[in-house]
This record gives sequence, structure tokens and C-alpha cells, in this order.
Amino acid sequence: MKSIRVQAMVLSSLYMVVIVTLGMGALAWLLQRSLTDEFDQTLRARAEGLASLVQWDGASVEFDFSQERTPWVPPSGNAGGFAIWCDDGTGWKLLEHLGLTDVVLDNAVRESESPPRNLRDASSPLRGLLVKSQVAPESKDGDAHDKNLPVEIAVTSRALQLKVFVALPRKALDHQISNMQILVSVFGVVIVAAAAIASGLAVWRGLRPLAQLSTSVASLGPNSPGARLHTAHLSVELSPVANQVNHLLARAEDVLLRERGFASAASHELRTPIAEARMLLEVALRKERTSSEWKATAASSLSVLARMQNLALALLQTARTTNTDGTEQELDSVELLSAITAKIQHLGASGHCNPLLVRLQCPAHLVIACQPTRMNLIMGNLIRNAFAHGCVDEKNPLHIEASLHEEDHDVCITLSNQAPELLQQDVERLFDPLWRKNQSRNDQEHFGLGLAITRQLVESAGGSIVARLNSDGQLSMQMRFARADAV
Amino acid sequence: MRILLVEDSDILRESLARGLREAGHAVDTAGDGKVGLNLAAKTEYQAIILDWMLPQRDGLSVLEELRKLGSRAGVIMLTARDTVADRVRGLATGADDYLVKPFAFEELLARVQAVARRGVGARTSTIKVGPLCIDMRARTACVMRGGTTIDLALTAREFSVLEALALHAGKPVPRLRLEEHVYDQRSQVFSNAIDSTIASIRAKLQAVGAPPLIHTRRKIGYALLEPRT
Repeated sequence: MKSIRVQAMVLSSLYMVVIVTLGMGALAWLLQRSLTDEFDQTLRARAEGLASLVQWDGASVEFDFSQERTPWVPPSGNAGGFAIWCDDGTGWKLLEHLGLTDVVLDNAVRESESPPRNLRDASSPLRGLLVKSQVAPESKDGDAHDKNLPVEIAVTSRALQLKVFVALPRKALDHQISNMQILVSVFGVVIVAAAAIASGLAVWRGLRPLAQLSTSVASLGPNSPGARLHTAHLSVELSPVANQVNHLLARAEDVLLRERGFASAASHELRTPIAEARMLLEVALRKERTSSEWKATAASSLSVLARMQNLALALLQTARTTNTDGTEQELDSVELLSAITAKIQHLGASGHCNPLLVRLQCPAHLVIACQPTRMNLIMGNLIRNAFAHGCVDEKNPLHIEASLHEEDHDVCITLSNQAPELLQQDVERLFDPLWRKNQSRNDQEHFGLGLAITRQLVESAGGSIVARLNSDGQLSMQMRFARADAV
Repeated sequence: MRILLVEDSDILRESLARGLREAGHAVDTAGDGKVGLNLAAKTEYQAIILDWMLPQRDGLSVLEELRKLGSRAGVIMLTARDTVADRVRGLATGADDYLVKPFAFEELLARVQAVARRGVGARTSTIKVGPLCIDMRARTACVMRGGTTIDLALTAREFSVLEALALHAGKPVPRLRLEEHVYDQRSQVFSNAIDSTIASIRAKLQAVGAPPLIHTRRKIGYALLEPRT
């Protein structure tokens, strides 16, 4: 497994080595060029001095630093100086030389061919330049300029060409360049290494928060749902990531705790019927029984099993409404007035409520966004709950009121009934799974799951439900759903 | 022994009471905390089996109130709550034992006898008074005579009376306490019921050659005493 931190460190160090090496190379080249230019300036100054001394009237003087073929200078010729050649039409002739004792002007030179040697070549012991001079032809009055020539040159009718070769030994220059190269190499290696290390360390340090975040995330386990990532010293780039992870962890913990609570409550609820069944059978088996006693035991066991079956079905329904997992079914629409009226009549027919004790106020043609079956279950649970656990009679009927909120396009449905036994602290637990005001477990149908299921159904339909207890003991269940045309 | 069973589940309450009665105990039952507290306040029980979650008044508050009233009855909390915190809370409130549902009836029976024994300071389930040996767990009695063991064929009521006397061996036990120990609310108690039971036990002891162990304390009750040497 590759580490981003190590990879980034190695890559940045490599980049830094390449960049600094190129930089040092460029610096070395620039320094060498600078030293050579300085040397050439000296040569040029000498050549210019020479040109001014000889005073060639009318002559054009051209300094040539180009890589033109120059006279051959043997390796030992390191004294420096100058040499002058003249081309009078018959070929180049050495007129004068000073210092360049070993300058050989032989046939080869006169032929301007062999052996050609470029004095700007680093292998040459001398570095020089050529001064090409074009001496003016003889004037009409016969005034010749040859008197100004440093050497005797035959005057001809044609223009006289001179070549002056100025050279200096390049030993000092080479020494300077060599020193510079050593200096640049040594410092270059040090600087390259330092830059690579510094760059690597900077990247290593810069990515430390990422490594810390990675370690923190890795330390999160299934046994630490309450653990959170530290965001105090994180960078602005990583902080949102850590915050988002923390947010997800908080949600996961919330779900986990809820699931644990639900599993615990369900297990708790199942213990009593299991204990009942076990005790029935254990006590019955302790001694010989008559057939009527066995019959009674079997009947009691059957009632316990029926209760367990009801509980299992209720738990299953709760689990099904809980596990939507993003596979939310598409919302349908319900015409509220007809749906509630039908439900009241249905419950009245099955004896779960008295329709005469229900006061319904609902505008016609009010359609909300909710599946009809879901709304059927929600209203059924709430109305049954009001009649089973509230105090609903002629003086205190069950009020069901539906109204439209124009501002937010929500439909508000409120069920109000008297609940004299209910306390304010009970209201907070009304929607908790398996919570019952009356703790008796003899009830075959009510396990304290109805309102928990109702809330999940409402929320899965995108709505909300809250319970409020007024000071006069009236319990209100207020639900909000989106209007169908507002979705 | 006299046991109070407070449990809201009808089926569990009835089957437990039935099993305990068949084991020879006198059992009173209550379906909610309020009734249970009233019964416990009026009668001296050797053991109280108390459910935690009860209508009207929960088991924990009943237990608190009982201890405030000075009840020394051994209390076993029955509950579906099985966390350590719940157990600690129950025991800290004054429960002598704690049993998590579902449980085995035999275990409950053993625990009931254990808390009842602790209530009178007995360490084992066997009590010896002279040659008489009473096994409260097996609910049997025998007499040791000349290296042989002779079992006493006692009825459940006779054993209960003998058990009550043995639990307070050396001390006189009032007739009323014996009645409370033997009979529950459902029993029809006649005025001479205890006297006739004592007479029957004495006859059975005499039949196996045991010395006189049960002594009458006039206007008080009866006492089980070591034989005089």
C-alpha cells in the first residue's frame, strides 16, 4: 500500500532536484559566459588599442570573434601578443608578430586551409580574435599610406587586406572557469540535497494533518460509535471533510442508539411472554396433572403465543416502516376529507371507535401528498389510540381538524381529545417504541408501538408529527403534510 | 413459608403462585404495586417476589416504601431489565435478590428459600434440632436415631408448621405467626388448625421414637427446643 505522504515527499524532492540542478547548470553557464566575455573584452581592448596605434587611414576595421579559421597556434604558444598577415592578392603573408613566437605562417596558412584551428576552442592554449582591416587604395595624388603601416607593405593598386590576430593565453580563463565549475558543482550538490530535503520535509509536514486525519479515521471502530475526529488543528481543506465525517458519525451513532434501544425494548417486551410460557409449562410438568389441568395449561400457553405473535407482527411493521433506506416510494396523493371519513366509518364498524363522538372539520377537495394506505394506517392508529387510551365521550368528543397553511403550502391535521391521565413528561415519551402509560402487560393488542409506527409513517411520507398537552388535559396530535400540488 | 407475589401478568402470576403453593408455601398475590404494598404492609411475609414494572406503582417504589416501613422480608425482584445498572439499582434499593425474566421455576424456588433463610440467620437449607433434621430445600424431615435415619411422613401443612418452628428454633413462635406462615389469603383458617397440626406432628415424632421437641408456651405459642440431656 502506497503512502500519499511518502509519494508526495519523494516526488517533490525529485522535482526539486531537477529544478535546482537545471538552475545550477544555468548559473554555471552564465558565469562561464560572463568570464569569457570579460576575457574577450580584454582582447578587444587590446585589438582596439593596436588599431588606434597603427592608424590605418580609410581602412575599415572589423573585429572578428566568430569561429573563423585562424592561424594555427601550437599548444606551447601561450605568451600572448599579436600577429599581422597581409593578403596582397598573391596570398597571405606574415608581416609582423609580437609575442606569438610560435605562430607559424607557412604554406598551410598561406593557403588559408590547413591546419585550420579555431582559437576559440577550449582545447587551444590561446584565445584570440582577428582584426580584419581593409586598407584604402592609393589616392590620386599618389599619397600612399604605407608610411603608416607598422611594417612595410607593398603598395599595390588594389586594396590591401590585413589580418591582425590578437591572442592571450587562456590558462587564467580556464583556471577561473574551472574554479567556478568546482564551486558550482560542490555548492550545487549541497544546494540540491538541501532543497530536496527541505522540499520533502515541507511536504511531509504539510501533509501531516492528512496523516493525522487518516489515523483518526482508522481508529474509528464498531465499538466506539461515540468517537469523533478532532477538527481543531485541521486545515481549511480537511476541516470540512472531518466535519462531514463527524456529522455522519453522529447520525450513525443516533441510528445505532435508536436501534439498540429498540432491540432492547423489543427484547424486554418479549421476555415476559416467554417467561409466562416457560412458567406455565414448568409448573405444569412438576407433578401429574389431570386432562382438564393440561387443557387449561394449553389454553393459557396458546394465549401467550397469540400475544407473542401480535407482538412479532407489530415489531415487523415497525421495522418495515423504519427501513426505508432511501428506497422511498413515490408519494401519492390523498383526498383528505373522504379518506378520514371512510376511516372513521371503518373503525366504527369494527368497534374501535364511535363515529358519533368524532367532530371532523376538513375542507373539501383538500389533497395531500401521501400514499393512501399510509394515510389510512396513520389515521387508524391515531383514532384508535384516542378511543383506547384517551377520554372520549359526548362531553369530550374527538376533534379532527384539517386546514391549509397558505404560507408554506402545508396541510395541518390536528386530532384533539381529553387525556386526563397523561402527564407532561409522558408526552415526551408518547412516540417511543414500546412505551405505555399503563405498564400492565396483559393487553393482547397494545404494545406501545402504535404511535411509534405512526410517527415513522408520517415521516416516511415527508410529514411531521408533534404531541402537545394543554393545561386542561387536552392532548393534541398535530401533523403537517405537503399539499399534493405543492410537491 | 408465607410468600407475597406481586406480578401484573395474570398468566405468570397464577402459574407462579400455583407452583409455589404446590411446593408447600402459602402464597398471596397482587396484580399491581398499590395492592402489593398494602398486603406487604399488613402481613409479615418471609419472602416477597416483586415485579419491577407494575401498574399503579412500580416495584422499585414499592420496595422503597416497604423498607421505610421497616419490612424485613426477603425481596426478590423479578424483571425483564437485565443491565448491570438495573441490577445494582434494584439491589441498592433494598432487594435481596434479583431474577431476570425468563427464569426457571426451580431457580426461583431456591432463591425464595435462600432469602427466607437469610431472614432468620440460617446459612444452610438444613436445620438440625436435636435428632430432628429438616431439609427446607427438599421439604423433608427426618429423625436420626441410633445411626439410622427415619423419614417423617409429613403433609405440606405439617412441614410448613415444623419449618416455621425450626426457623426460630429455641424461641417461642406465636400461634398467629404460625398461621401467617402456613395459610395464605385464600385459606379458610379454623381456630384450632395450628393446634391440631402441632398435635399431628408430635404424634409422628413420637411414633419414630423421637424425644419431645415441640413445647407449648401457654398463651404465646409453640417452641422447637433441643431435648434436655
